[in-house]
Amino acid sequence: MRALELDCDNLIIGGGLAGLIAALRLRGSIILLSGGLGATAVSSGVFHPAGTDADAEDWFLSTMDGAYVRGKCVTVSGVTRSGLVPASTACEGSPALAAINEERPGFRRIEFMNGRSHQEIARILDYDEGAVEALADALSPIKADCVLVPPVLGIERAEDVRERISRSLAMEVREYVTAPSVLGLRLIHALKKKAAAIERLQMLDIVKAERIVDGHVEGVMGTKGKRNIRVRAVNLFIATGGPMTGFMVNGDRMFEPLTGATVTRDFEADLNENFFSDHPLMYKGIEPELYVHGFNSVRSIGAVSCGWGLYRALLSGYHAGDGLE
Amino acid sequence: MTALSEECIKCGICEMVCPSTLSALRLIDVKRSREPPLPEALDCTTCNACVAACPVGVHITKSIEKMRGHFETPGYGETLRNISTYGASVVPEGRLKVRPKPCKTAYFAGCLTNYRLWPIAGAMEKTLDYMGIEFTRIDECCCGSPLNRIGRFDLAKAMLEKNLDQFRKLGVETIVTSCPGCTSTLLEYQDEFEVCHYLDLYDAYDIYGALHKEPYRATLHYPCHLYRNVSPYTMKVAETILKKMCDYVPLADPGLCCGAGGGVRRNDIGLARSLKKRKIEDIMAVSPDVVAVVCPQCRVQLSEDVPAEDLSILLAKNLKPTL
Repeated sequence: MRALELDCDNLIIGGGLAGLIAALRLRGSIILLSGGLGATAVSSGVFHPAGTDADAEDWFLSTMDGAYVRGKCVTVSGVTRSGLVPASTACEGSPALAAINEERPGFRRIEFMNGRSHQEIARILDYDEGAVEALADALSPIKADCVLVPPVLGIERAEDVRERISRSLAMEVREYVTAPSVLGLRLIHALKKKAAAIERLQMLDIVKAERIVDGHVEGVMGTKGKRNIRVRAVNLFIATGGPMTGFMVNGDRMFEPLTGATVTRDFEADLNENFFSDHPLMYKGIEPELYVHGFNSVRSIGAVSCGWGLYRALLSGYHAGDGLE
Repeated sequence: MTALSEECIKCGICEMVCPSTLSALRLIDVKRSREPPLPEALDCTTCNACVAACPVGVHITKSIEKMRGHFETPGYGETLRNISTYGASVVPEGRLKVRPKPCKTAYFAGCLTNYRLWPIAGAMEKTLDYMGIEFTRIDECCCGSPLNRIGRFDLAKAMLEKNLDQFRKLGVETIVTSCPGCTSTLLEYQDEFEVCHYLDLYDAYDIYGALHKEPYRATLHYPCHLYRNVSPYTMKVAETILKKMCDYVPLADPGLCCGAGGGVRRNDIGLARSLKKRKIEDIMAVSPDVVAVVCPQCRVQLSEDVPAEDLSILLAKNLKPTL
């Protein structure tokens, strides 16, 4: 079959935090190509440290409708972190700490669905009423104003599950922070739900962008990767995360396949233990204008432009469209 | 598949996005690879939500399907028996009445449509005629999809080949499909023929102009094997068609599996029905007159609880008569 041809004003490659935030903020017609879940989904969901861009933070908090707050949370190692935190993890003072099916210093161990991971427990609690009651039972020996459990309290219905258990125990039940966990997935789901409501935005999940060629992005669709897609856009936003799509080698030249950006012309001679730590790609990211042609504007956002970290990704997504018409 | 599960980073995303009751992570754990597979492998609906979400691209569903080759269950036995006896995944009610002729385009309906939901084939034939596309049918065998789902890849290939042979003899170049299972299988296991789902075709033909608004309210359920395996864009096409024909209301989570796939409905009807509950709740929440589906298996599963109809039928009924 011929490649599917689409066009738009703003094309975003990557449906992680930066890509989704940009999609929520950009004007004009937008297409977002997302290859699946990545760094945001396996993150802790906590924006720490925060505090350098109040506008972006306020916008994010109001967009998240109470699912995020400015506050403090406690991590799996017992450390307190402050910033923008999932509301289910926000706490003050010194709450009781409960670990599920594992020994942790300073945590009280409770037994619940032994043999299942925290992620699997979260999925089960999301739809199984009996399991919600069983967790309340397992937590009932703990006496405190507030107890922190691992992030297991459901996915889509997390707030509902948390409130029910809290009410039945007459104790505030909240979650401590760890990664990977359901906290990152909840963040992605909440943003995707917002994005799905925007009429001028077309989100195409399960699309792997393979090449950027003169004003177009080409890729394949579906888990079988058998359908081609070609999207033309005025502006391009590269939000593919980390060191982009991995590097390839052609003769002596090593390059980044999506943009064709040359990493080194002679990798055998250049590659040594210092190469990556010294290479601008690692601390500056790809400089898209040097490698990508045919768009009015090309911008890299998220980890491509500023390295890992949710807060920086938020800011780069928030400001993605600054200065564009 | 051991080599693939070694790439697993154990992030647990597969466990969170699964609509069923298994843990893919536990199943594909490399430490377990020399032991017999866990029976929870039978609970996978092969919806591929985990494959689409996996950050490192582990072929989770393929591994699970391979594990299923170790199990003999009454449901799996029924599939094997039907296909070896009748060449179809279900017991046929009568013989398929087709007149194969040399033609560049063929319509491949699939077992469930041929022997249970033939109005889908009728609607397809009507719409292909409407679009002026000349096509042939063939004396279909099962495409092999139900065999792949239970890990019998060898037998599946043989079934597919019987169909391909007929396409070759008739000089077919493009195969038009209406069943996501057939579409995904034909795309994955051969490169000789173009494969085109009816939604691809309707979009390419720009059928939207031939549709008119009618006073009913419909929602759309995404079929896993078309939406996820083949092309997420087909669902944009389906939504555009529905917006032209009726008052379209989206589901909260349209891509959530109906619970019937991967042989689960045949093998464990109790599980299939319990997995469906959330879908039915989502549907009730938008109170549609009809749920548009794009898969005969989803149609069978959902119409037990709510009025569900294949989009090909809704569309064929809506077409303005040709002058």
